[in-house]
Amino acid sequence: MGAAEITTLITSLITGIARVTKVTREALAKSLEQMASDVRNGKLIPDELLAKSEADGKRLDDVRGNLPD
Amino acid sequence: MRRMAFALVLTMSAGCASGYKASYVTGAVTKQFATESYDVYSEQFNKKIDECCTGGVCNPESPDVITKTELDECMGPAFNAETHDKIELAIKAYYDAAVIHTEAMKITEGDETARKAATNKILDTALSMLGLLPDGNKLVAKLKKLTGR
Repeated sequence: MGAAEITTLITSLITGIARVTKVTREALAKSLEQMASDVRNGKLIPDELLAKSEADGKRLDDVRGNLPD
Repeated sequence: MRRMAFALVLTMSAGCASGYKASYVTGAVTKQFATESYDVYSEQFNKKIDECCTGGVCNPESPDVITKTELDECMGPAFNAETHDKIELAIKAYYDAAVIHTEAMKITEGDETARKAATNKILDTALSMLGLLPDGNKLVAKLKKLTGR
């Protein structure tokens, strides 16, 4: 494994940890009532997550579909 | 991070006292954790495609990747078509569970069994999805810790 790959790996790791930390902090900052309100208002339904995974899948299909087996 | 996780578990313990609130917390934490974890994966996934396909587009003239098999090999087991299809399916299952969970929380605040079933369902589907991502075992362990499971 080269230096560039190690750097990329470490950067990805740090980015991942920072994001998860942010999520946890945000979760803590919200009161239970706020969370309950979010759920009732449908904010728990991960529409964006579904759309993003489908868009990623479509991109791979588009790219892969142009290639022979 | 550990202190925050511990504080969150404490928050959840407090929520347990009021029953339905614990279900809200588990659902909300699960949603945020799953979404952010997928965001990290998505970024790496798209970067892989960029790396494997010159200019982001593979074509038969590409000197590096000329077949589907070569693209799968270049993407690697964590990001190839088969793995991504599984992840996409798992996210659909998680999405359906989230819809059911939201409906259950609206109408079954007094029904502990239905509430717990909906909460377990969303958590289980999220764990299944997370397990498919790179470093899935760590993500699963972290979400279990955050939700006190």
